[in-house]
Amino acid sequence: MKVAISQLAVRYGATQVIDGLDLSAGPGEILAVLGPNGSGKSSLVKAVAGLVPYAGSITFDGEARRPGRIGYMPQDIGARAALTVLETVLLGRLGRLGLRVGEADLAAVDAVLSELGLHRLAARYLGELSGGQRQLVFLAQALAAEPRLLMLDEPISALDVRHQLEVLEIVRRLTIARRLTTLVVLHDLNMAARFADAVAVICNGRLARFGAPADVIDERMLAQVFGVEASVALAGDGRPNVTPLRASRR
Amino acid sequence: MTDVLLAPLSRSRAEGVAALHGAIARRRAMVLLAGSLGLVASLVLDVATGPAFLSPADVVRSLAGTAGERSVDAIVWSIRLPVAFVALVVGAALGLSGAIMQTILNNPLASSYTLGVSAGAGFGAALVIVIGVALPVPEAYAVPVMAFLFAGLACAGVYAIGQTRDASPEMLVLGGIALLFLFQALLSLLQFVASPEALQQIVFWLFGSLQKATWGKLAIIALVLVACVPCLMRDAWRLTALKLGDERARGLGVDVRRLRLRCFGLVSALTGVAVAFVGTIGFVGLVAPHVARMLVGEDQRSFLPASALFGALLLSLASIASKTVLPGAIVPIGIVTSLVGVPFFVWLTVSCRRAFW
Amino acid sequence: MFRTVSRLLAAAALIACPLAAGAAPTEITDALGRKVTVELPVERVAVNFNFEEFTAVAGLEGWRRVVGISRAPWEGWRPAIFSRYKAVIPNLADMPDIGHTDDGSFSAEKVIGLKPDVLLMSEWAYKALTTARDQIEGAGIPIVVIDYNAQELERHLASTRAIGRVMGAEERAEELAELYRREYADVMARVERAKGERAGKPRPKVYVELGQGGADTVGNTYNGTMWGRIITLLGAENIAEGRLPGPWGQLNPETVIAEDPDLILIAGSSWVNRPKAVRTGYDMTPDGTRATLRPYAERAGWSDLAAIREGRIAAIEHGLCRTLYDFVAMQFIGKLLYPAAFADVDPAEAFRDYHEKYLPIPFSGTWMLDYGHD
Repeated sequence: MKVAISQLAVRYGATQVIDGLDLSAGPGEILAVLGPNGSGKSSLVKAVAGLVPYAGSITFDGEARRPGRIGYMPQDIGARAALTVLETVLLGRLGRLGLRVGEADLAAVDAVLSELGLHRLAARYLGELSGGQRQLVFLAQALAAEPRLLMLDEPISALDVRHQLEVLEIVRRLTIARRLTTLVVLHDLNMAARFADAVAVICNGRLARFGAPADVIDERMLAQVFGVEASVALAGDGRPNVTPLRASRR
Repeated sequence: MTDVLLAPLSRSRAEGVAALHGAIARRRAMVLLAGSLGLVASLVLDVATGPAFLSPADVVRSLAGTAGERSVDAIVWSIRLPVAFVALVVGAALGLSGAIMQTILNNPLASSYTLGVSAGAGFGAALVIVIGVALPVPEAYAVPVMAFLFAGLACAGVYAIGQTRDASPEMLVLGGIALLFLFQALLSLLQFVASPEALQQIVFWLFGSLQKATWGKLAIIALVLVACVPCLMRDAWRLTALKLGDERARGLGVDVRRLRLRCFGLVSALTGVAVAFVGTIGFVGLVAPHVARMLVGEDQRSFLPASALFGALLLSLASIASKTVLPGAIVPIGIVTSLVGVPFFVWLTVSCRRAFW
Repeated sequence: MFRTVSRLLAAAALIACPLAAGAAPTEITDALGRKVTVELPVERVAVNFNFEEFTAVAGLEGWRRVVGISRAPWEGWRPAIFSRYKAVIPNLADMPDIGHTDDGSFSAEKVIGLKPDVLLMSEWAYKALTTARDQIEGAGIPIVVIDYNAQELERHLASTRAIGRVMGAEERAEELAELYRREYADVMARVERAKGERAGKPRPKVYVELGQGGADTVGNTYNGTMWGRIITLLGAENIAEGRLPGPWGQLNPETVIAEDPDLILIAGSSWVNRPKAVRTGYDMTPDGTRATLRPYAERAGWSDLAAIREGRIAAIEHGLCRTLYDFVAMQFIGKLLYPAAFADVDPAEAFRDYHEKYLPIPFSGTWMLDYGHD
């Protein structure tokens, strides 16, 4: 589905967190949301998911009504519960679960566990899994609802490089296969460069840059938005590769 | 802690998730069944014990309705049976309310007892006894109704205090502890001005006692319990989602604030009705959910019924203990649950630290 | 109401039935005015309180029919007295315990299991144990309520007569009731006379304190009940009246000094494990009681009180209060307040007399002591 954001404003108490933001994302593409800490990236994603009040308009395929099937994965705050992987993923279908779990629900869970290679962990408790495995489980939870819009808030920040690659590859594969509209908040510029189709850079609640990775991720942007002196080179596939050098003197 | 039983299933993709789910559900059903059988056994023992030392043959004859002595019938039917059944329903109510509190407050030490709800109910009861607060209800029910109202007040108090910081679990727990101290202090004040006759009734509320059970009271408690269960089970999946944290629950579409409010309402009803008729009984609401969690996990669809079941079992066993520890006398049940509950709870926390919080 | 009517009908039916041999259901009015139907004669009885009164009316013969008592308010509260009764009542030592209201140990089940024909219960237990009393009555065991705690003449008399009717000792009960009525009236008449002679002078002020914890602890005093009520009945002023939040409690020691009472009463007894208490009872000599009272007479801060300087402090047995022989206590306090009007009254003799006529244990010891003059 096509998501169009216009003049978005989000306020927490006296603080204006997002101030007049315009953005759009389409089906089958990954939009990476980048920016310094506190720039409003999480709030943007929460607003699109309908979890915080906002001003401005967000339309889904032209309609203001938010679709029922949104997959949202918040930042991992390490909540532990004595739930099995199966139950956790099943929760992704919360809107439709009755006291007896239906066959359709189990089939959907089955499919998503296969997709992510999590079958052998199905009976394990969350507390026993590694960080990477847990992230995959929550990703499976977000996907279990068979959503058309997927929003991931820093899904790989706590993972090692192997799991970072695994998770993002799965996300890209599914985005293309199921024609999902995916918004991913990332800190890692190189991962964003590698996997995203479009990049939005948020700075102080406003959109600083928007476009293809090669157009957006350059040395000037890094200096202006992140306050970092870096060297950006284009790799063989045309995607930028960032090498940070030093923090700029203010 | 993967089930040895389930491991082969989970390895085989072809079996699929449905089979795994079925196996888990079956295992949980077995636990509940075993618990229910234990409950029946405990009930039988409860009816068979008491200070009058009736022989089992006499008890069985009386239950079967065959002609027996009038005194035996009176003891079995108007004393022991109501007491045994009230132990079950009150235990269930306490176990259930403890389970709900531990879930919505995300705190394994939460229960109506530790958060001042029971203390509030006890204070409400004491108010009627000492001051004779006039209510438009028949005198026999004035005490339970006030206990119920004050349980609700305590819950409202906990919630209101939590409101100041968006009802985070930490704030709610602190609010509950503050209320516990407040009501205990108010109760002490009442005791200071109470006449000796009133004093001995207040003591009942502090120690708890199943001995005042009657069929009428049993009906009321059972009614409230039965009314609360469907309301609760409708929220079972939402409560499970809450276990993953407020953030994730909201992300899954749960209105966290409303859910907590609803659950507080249920907790006041369950605690109020329990304390109103049997006084303050501690630790059942604390221990039963832990036992349930150890045996069936945190899927609320089975966790909640299991908490109720084990709460009932716990209180029934405590009732038997209170009658057999000092032969011929009855130790107040609140003392039994505390003396047994505390070491049990310590053992639980030490041995199961790993997986659960 | 319905229960009473149905019982009356049942009683009438049974009386009309020629097969009713021996046992006759009789309607008894208890101390609360309740009409209770009891099958007379009673073969088995359970007693909750007021054991000395029961003994006086029913005698040792009555005790043979007792199947259960509340042990705590006798064995626990007055152990020295209990042991004396234990010596003369054979079944008392192992008497089954039906429990006590104060600690929640009263067991309806125990009572029903003992199969008594009637339960004699105190008024405060009856009021407190609503569920238990319904269960007991529901099992067909009538409850007769007796009440000496109200400290009212009519209740004293009605209770005594009720015990008499239940135990088939009506003559003796009537004798005791008449004795009490006469002595009570006599005390009241003397008080009136004394008041007349004192016309114009203010009422004498009295401070009473429970001497259980010793002179260095402030013991309870009474407001409108127990000793306080007796003091007021005798036309004196209880300085604690209206000053306590409840019926009893501790009075601020400064108030005592400010009020400068005319008479100080310390209630003692034969408690165990109370080394500093004022001791009275069967085993005490006057010197012994005096020795335990001395710390109060020499209490810090009291040396300037008129009552202390003039020796107007006395010890009195706490267990005399709210009993069938409380007239003895009234006589003693009356004598302290109005020596002239009570000149020819000898409370100790009256108590000895009561023992000889009505109680199975011999009188001995010190129950009342006037510190300044005994």
